Amino acid sequence: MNSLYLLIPLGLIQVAGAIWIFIWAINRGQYEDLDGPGTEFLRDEWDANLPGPTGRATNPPEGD
Amino acid sequence: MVTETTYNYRVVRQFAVMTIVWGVVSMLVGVIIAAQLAWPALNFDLPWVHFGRLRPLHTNAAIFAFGGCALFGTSLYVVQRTCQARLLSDQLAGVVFWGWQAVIVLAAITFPLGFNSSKEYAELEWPIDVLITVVWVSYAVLFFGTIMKRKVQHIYVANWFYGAFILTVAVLHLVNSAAIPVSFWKSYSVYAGTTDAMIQWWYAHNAVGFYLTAGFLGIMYYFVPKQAGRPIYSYRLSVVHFWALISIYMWAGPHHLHFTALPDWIQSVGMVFSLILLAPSWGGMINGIMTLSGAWSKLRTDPVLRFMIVSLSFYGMSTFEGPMMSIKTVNALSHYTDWTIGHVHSGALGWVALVSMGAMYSLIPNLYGLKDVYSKTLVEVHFWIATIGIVLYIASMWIAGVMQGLMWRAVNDDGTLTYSFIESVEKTFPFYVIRLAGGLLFFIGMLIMAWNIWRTIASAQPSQVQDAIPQSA
Repeated sequence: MNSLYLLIPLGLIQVAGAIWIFIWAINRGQYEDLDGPGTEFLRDEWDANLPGPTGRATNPPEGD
Repeated sequence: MVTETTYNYRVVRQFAVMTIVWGVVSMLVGVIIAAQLAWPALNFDLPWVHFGRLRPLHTNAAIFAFGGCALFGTSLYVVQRTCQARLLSDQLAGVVFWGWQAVIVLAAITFPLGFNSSKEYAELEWPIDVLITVVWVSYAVLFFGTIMKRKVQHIYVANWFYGAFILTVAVLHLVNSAAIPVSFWKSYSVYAGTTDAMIQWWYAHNAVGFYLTAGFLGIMYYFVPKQAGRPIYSYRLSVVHFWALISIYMWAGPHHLHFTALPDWIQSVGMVFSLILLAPSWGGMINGIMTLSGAWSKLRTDPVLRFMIVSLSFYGMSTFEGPMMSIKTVNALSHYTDWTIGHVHSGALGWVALVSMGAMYSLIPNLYGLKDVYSKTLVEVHFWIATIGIVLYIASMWIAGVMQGLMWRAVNDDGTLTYSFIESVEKTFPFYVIRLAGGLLFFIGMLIMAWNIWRTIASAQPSQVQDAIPQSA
């Protein structure tokens, strides 16, 4: 039984967090369009308009 | 030298290659311990290679090394591609990769030496747990940081699954691994008795739910549409799938403790939530498979797609079997038998391993600027060997498990047990041999994959690797 005193509050905190994120997602319009996002990343031109290195002036060469 | 102009593919390549390496290692250890169960003499009376020490090595290597590298690699790829943003930090990516490899190597050293916290699927001792925490926090910052600098407004559903996996595993690890060290390699859990057991299975069940399910569903939601060249059957359903799955999974853990000292009503609550779980699980499975609706012929020509679709079939099968086994009357027969081992491997080999292999066959040529893997025929061979191996494995464990359950509960008219325990062990022998054969086939399939991937990477031109960055395929 003692485990419940930890797991139930923990579960409730997580559910509260999930609800908060869910509302955040709705308010941010994440679910306005529920068809487009499924196809967008499959289009050939998806990456074509990438503006080069992101958020940095130059990309240092890396070994592999 | 490879210049990366847009995305950080370096860390993805590193994780992808190590997925293959650790796949071979974990399955080899699995084959060894399967042989030990059939022929105990193979323990050689040596503590370091004893079943009790190799078994956690096998489970940790399969889940955290093979599965972990697949999750790290694909998530760091998918998050960049779907957010159209380079990873937050290349240094942090290095910390995640090398930190995780260090965890795996430490596990491979400490388990054979007998260091074990005795928490199932969390056996690593506390110093390694601390290292895991550092790596995991770095990973979370890297992943969510990349989402925050995304160039597209919408966060693709695969990232939601990966995100839930990262956050939940962090909570699970911190709560379950809480321990009081008594020396550098010895600690005691802060929980005791039934409380400890409940925390343990709350952890382990949610590790199944968020690590082995949500994480790999992230793989599914990106790589199945990508490989099929068509959008997911219903994007709307994928969003419902996500929220339903994460809100129900958290409560099903007590079904691991049926008929124990855990209060009866908690067991029943666990059972009910397990049964409800069937709905979102099958929703996701159908969503993935129906992606091919109207294009089923692709399965004839594309063995990589076949890996993914068959993995979804096994996902559907094991998420049906799981709720059934959580019903108390069924559990009374199945608990503590090899049926459980069969169920786990239906999920582990059928779902987790096959979807990871499919994703790697799809991803690795891409990362090296190639159109396809070295040999499609070998992918085909791997597919059939692996599938036959899984069927042998789970069918033998089903039969063995039901037989064990029936033998253990058989009672004579005078109330004495019909069979002694050792009689059930003797009867299980042929099924252990069949299981070993199935596991061996699966391992051989993994070796074929390793060879195929090796030749694929060897055939890549450095210039192609450079040009590979803005991919359209």
